[in-house]
Amino acid sequence: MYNLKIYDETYLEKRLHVQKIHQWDFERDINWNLKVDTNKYLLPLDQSNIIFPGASAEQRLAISQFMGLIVASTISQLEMVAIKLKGPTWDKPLKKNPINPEFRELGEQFYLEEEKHSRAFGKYIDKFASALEIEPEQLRNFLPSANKTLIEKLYSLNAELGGSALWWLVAAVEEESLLFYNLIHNSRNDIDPLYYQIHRCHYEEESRHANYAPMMLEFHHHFSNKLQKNIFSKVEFLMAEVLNMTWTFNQLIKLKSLKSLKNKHPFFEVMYSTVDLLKGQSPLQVLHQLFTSAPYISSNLHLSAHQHVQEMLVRYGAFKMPLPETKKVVLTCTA
Amino acid sequence: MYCINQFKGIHFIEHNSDKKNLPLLIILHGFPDNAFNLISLVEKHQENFHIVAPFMPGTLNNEKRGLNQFNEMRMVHDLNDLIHFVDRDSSKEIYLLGHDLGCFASVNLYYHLRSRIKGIIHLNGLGLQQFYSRRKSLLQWIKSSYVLTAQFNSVRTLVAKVFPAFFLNMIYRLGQVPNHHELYEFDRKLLSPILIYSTLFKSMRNFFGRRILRIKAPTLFLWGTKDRFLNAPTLDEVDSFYDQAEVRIIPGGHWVHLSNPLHTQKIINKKLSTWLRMNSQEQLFGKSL
Repeated sequence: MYNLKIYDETYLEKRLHVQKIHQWDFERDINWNLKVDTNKYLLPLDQSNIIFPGASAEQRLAISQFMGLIVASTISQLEMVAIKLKGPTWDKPLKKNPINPEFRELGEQFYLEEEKHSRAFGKYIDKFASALEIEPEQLRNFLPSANKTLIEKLYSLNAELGGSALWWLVAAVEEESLLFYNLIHNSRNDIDPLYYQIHRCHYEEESRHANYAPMMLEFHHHFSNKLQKNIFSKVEFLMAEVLNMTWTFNQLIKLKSLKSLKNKHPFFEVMYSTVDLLKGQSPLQVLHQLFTSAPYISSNLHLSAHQHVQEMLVRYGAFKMPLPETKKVVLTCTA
Repeated sequence: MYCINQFKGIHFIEHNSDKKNLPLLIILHGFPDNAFNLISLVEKHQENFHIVAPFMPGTLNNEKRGLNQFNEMRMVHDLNDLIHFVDRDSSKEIYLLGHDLGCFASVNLYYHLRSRIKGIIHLNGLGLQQFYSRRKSLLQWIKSSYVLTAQFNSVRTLVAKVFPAFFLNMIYRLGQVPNHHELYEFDRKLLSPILIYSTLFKSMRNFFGRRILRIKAPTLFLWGTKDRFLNAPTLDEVDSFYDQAEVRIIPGGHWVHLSNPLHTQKIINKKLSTWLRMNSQEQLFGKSL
């Protein structure tokens, strides 16, 4: 269980000190002179090609790169949403219940780091687009985006009503990103060096501030009124799960429009060719695999599968969706 | 060693009266309480201050009390005179530590002594004008409904004379005073200042349409989370009254120094040390200039 000592100013002060002295610099600590190596994987994939059975080495590489871009964009977008909703989800409740200056400063540092992470992953996507010789916007059209979506508005509304659904999502995604780094780290020699470097820097700061979102949940638990505590807080994780699933499937559907770019670059042509690999499977089968065994996607759909999230669900007596269990798969960067 | 002195009918605990160089720490207790319960908070600093902790009229012994003794202005003038009495040269820097109603007095003292006040600590309490600014808060009205009932003489008699033990018990339970605490000996003298609610309530009329009187002295609000009598201040509220204030909310009740003594002491000690260090550095720079 994370340390949730929100009242312990000495502990919070120490954490802030550690985060400040170890924080990395966007320009200095990431070698932006590195070019994106389009022959390298971005994420290791399952050897059994569960979703894309019979994929060739070329297709596996394209899938890995596309998944890598989706992960980068997802992290970047969700961090941006957290920053955009800083007012209703963080500033307003902390002004109403100013627990202590250290907790507030720790939050400012958290947002500073999140903004940097979002920018770093965004810049990588731009560099990848340059490597493919296409406009970044063309690539971003296929990648997850949370900008001005209904989901963003719903999280904002929840926060205005004193809810903490976004903090559940942030807590789960932060834990997930640490998990993803470990997978990438195990295959680091086959991963694009710049992509790996960004994930490593991201991992370092995420692991240092990983307990901030859980501490915000704890803060809400302590300062909510009875109605919020007994009803809203029980269903807020469910709300985060439903919104996250809706958003994930909405983003996956975007892949259908890959066709328009298939003649722009071989990467898109190969990526489009993977659609044929899905044809032998029924939609229900694909859906089941997305929930149970598709690397990265099933993990993203199972917010409640993460250990710390599970502990918090028990701690606050919050409800979760009954989802089929995920299967463990071995991930590699080889065909 | 603490001793109890008297000046113009005001009883007060005093410590280090013979040490001329020490700054003054004025400790102002709340209601229903006495000065003893706050003294232990500053044990670690007892050699760094000339400590003065007055008792509200009637709380140490059963001397006769009139309504005018609880007049807000009269109380402040009395405290002001007491400060002149214990610091005849008016040369000492002053720090204020108040709880509950003691915070009303702290703020009023600040308006009288301004630049001499180097730091204010409020424990689950606030200035009267700040309290008045909450007039649109339904939750605060609910929590403070007892103030309205205390405007009636019959209610005051019922509380202070007919069922003092019952009401003290209820107040301390709601305030999360620990079960074993000596306050549960139900000393009915502690209810003597109940008249103060009448005078303070009337004083609030003076704030109608009046501009906010800002406080420049560094201030710490230390608040127990489960305060059943006063809402914790919001940052916006504090920023509109204070130039440099910080708020700390810790587990505990309205008597935060009794329900969470260690954490309260730790924060107060740290804050007093910081202020003393800062002011001694200021003096040093002043001398070298």
